Amino acid sequence: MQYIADFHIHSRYSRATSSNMVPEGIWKWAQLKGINVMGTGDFTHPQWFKELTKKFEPTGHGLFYLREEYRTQDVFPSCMADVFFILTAEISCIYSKKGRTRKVHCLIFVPDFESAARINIALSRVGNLSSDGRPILGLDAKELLNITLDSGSDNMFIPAHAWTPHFSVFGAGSGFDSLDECFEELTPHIYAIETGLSSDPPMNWRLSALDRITLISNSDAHSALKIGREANIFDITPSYRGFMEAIKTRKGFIGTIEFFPEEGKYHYDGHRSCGVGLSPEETINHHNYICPVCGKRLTVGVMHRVTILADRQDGFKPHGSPEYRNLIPLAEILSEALKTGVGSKAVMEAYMNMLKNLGNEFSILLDTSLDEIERVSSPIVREAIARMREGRIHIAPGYDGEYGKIKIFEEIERREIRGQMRLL
Amino acid sequence: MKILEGLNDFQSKAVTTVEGPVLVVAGPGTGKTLTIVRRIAYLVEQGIKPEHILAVTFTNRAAREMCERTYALLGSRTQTIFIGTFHLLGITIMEHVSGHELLLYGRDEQLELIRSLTGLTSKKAFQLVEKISRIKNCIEGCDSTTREFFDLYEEARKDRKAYDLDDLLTIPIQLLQDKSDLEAFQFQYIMVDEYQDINPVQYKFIKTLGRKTQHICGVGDADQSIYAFRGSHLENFLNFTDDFPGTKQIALTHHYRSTEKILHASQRLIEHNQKRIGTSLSTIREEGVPITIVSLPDGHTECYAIIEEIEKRIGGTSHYMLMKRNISNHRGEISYRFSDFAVLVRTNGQATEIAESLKMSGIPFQRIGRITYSRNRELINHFQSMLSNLPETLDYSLLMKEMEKKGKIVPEDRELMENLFVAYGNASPREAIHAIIHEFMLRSSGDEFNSNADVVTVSTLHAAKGLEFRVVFIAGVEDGLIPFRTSQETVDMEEERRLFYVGMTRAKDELLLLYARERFLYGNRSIRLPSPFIQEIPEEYVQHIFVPERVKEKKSNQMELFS
Repeated sequence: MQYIADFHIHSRYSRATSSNMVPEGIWKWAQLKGINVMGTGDFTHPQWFKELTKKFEPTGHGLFYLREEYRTQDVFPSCMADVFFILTAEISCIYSKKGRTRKVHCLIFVPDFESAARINIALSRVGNLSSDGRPILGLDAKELLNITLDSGSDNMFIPAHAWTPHFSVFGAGSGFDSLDECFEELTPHIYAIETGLSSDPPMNWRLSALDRITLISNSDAHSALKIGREANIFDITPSYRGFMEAIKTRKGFIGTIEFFPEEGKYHYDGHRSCGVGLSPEETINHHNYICPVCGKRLTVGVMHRVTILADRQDGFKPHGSPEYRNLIPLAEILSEALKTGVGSKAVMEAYMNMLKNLGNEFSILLDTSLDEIERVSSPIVREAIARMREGRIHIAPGYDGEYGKIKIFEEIERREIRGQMRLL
Repeated sequence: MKILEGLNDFQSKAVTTVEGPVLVVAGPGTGKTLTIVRRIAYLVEQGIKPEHILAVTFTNRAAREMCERTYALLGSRTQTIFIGTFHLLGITIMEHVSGHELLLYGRDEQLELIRSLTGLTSKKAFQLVEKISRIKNCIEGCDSTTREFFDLYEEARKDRKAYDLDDLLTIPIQLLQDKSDLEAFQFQYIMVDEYQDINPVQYKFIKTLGRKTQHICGVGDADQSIYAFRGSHLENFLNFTDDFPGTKQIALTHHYRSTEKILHASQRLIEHNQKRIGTSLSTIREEGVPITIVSLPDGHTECYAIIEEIEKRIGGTSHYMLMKRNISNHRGEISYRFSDFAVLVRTNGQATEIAESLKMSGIPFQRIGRITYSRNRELINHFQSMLSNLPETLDYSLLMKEMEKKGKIVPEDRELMENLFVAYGNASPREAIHAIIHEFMLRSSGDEFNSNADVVTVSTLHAAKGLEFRVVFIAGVEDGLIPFRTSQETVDMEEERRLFYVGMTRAKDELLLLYARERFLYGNRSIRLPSPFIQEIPEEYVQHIFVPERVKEKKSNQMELFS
């Protein structure tokens, strides 16, 4: 059976995170989204850890259930499903290596509360875990990997959103040029990287150094609605070891669900405050890394970093690499179709209506027939989803923290689709 | 010759001048430790028996560093050289004489003893312990009420055959005087680090040790004498030449730490003192950026300004900070780490406020220089007592409740304890308790500077002595704090100026002096004035930043100190 997993999210104890990121809320939204396996996030935070030990019970296979008494009754019957949880956390390592400031975010997976507690004890020796669900530690990422491995033989360590400029292992601002440079002799313990919203598998395939690395995708959600905006698909018998083996060997790792990388907020180069977004080519050839508005150095994005570190041409596909699908979150599609804000009442009503009648969001985006979609929505939504599935959309790429802007329809097309409707 | 390799002329002279009394005047950043270490090596190379060499330091930190560096130079030959604190030397002599290991009471044990004898509160007991220490160090006399407690304490201590830290100075002096033939301690070459900080008892100790030799070397800096409140006598240093006739005085004048601006500014400040030797330093470093003097509306904004300046230099610690405050790494290549920063303050109360803000911000930090009753001790004692009467199984929630009833478990302890209980939930009670004790032991020296921790240091000016950082913030540079005034005592302006000087000279690249125009202090909101010492720094070395009062609608921009 296939399982969709989103391992990287944050609890309400993290900075700038919604209060709906509680076990009950995550459990509910996982079902609405169509996710079978959720990372808990933030197990390093003392209060969240306490809440996890209270509200979750182990299944016995390194996975967890939300205890019966915390399950709410407000999930549409069309979406109801089992949700497994897996203990995960993200650490922000800020340190200096070879004379440069390094900032690397890292994901840690553990099979049980004991291993999590051991990591928490070790980390609380070097820093404070209670001020942020994603703690900042003055700790070398390699040392964090060491602590992770020391705290349990089944623990897993994966560099998070590996390409983002400011806080990642390959980031232009404060990362490295290779995994070896960062993790040295411990590099063989790195089995996977998280590609982040602004890159997708084809971009990563351009680096032969990543051929042995599994490319995983997660949402890094700070609010419930964003859960599952990227995810992984497995075909295995669910257990902690099962998932980790699949990540290590890619057996049973079917592939990933991706953002369109252009939509990610660090796809291109630029300056958010100056409203300047540039392609890598423009940055290098026309502007020499200098912002044409303020004259300061541009924030170099993900595409640019990939281009610099790549040793293959665009379009190369390594043999046997897992599949991927690019999606746009349903709320954004509805927002585009209805010409109103993502957070608006109209969008949320249409969203809930579709879920109630058709099932969870992933099934709508991936599988539900267009006729059925049109039946509970409108021709324009049908057309939008059709175009999204075929990749016939236009995106103004994101840069320097600014999300890319999706455009599915030109104004004239919109009128045409409505016109066709009238003729029918 | 290898031993003199890389030394400047003054350092070489200090290393090779070993006969007779020598006074080495070593200002901040002049390579003092390097010079002492090479001097020890030089003595050994000259054929002096290692066991005839003594180097006394003030702190364990300094001793450790000196040992490591000497070992790197001489290898196993260092083993018989005595390098250590006065206390270590004291206990070594005492144990040599008694022939067995002695029971030592640290501050925690002293407190426990006092509390059990008198029933005083922790705070009162703490004050009494301090007072007893001062009496033993001949810093103050003993009034009649204290006499009673003093005698009670001494009697109980002797009953228990225990010795406190102060006994480690007074008793060895007696032993050395009574048995002048203590062969193992016939030091021929004596070096005393931080000579300006020695108190009357330590002075007597040195005099007694050095009765039979003329080769005494004092190393120090009159301008960094900051322990008058612990009874240190700057006069010992200033009078060294009279005290030891024939003294050769050597000043180390090449400075390697601070930029020219920082060094010159601090030199000009300290020149206002009368009681000093007055050597002028010259730095090998570049001119550097001006010292930044920041005027802030209140203590709260002071904390935020510090955090923001750290964030800027590190290039933002989170996306959230990057978005919220528009801190970006437009500066190009950055190379800072958290341990490059220190925030220095005059009082522990200020340190607490800054530590709280840093904690909220998520920036990792360590706090040093607190002298408080260690709460860990109680927890460790409790668990140790459990070992002798082990239960079959451990009921963790019950244990926790018991601990809470017993004493003060602060939130950090509770969080750690909860993790320990989970981590060792399946272990045997013995294994679990051992692990818990081990973990709390590891953390019990939490207020000592850890040079391996990559964190921002929050310290009092006193505790920062001997340390250096790329960027130093001195907060609360206000009259009343720097110099520190209480209504009861008169202010020793020279001592306070030296303390500020020590703070300023901790900075390698950047120095920021912050003061608030209004501050909540001792339960009152009060109007503050900048420290008079700021006036003593010539304008050519500084730049001023004035941060206006909170402007409500532009909340996010108000903290922008520098564009």
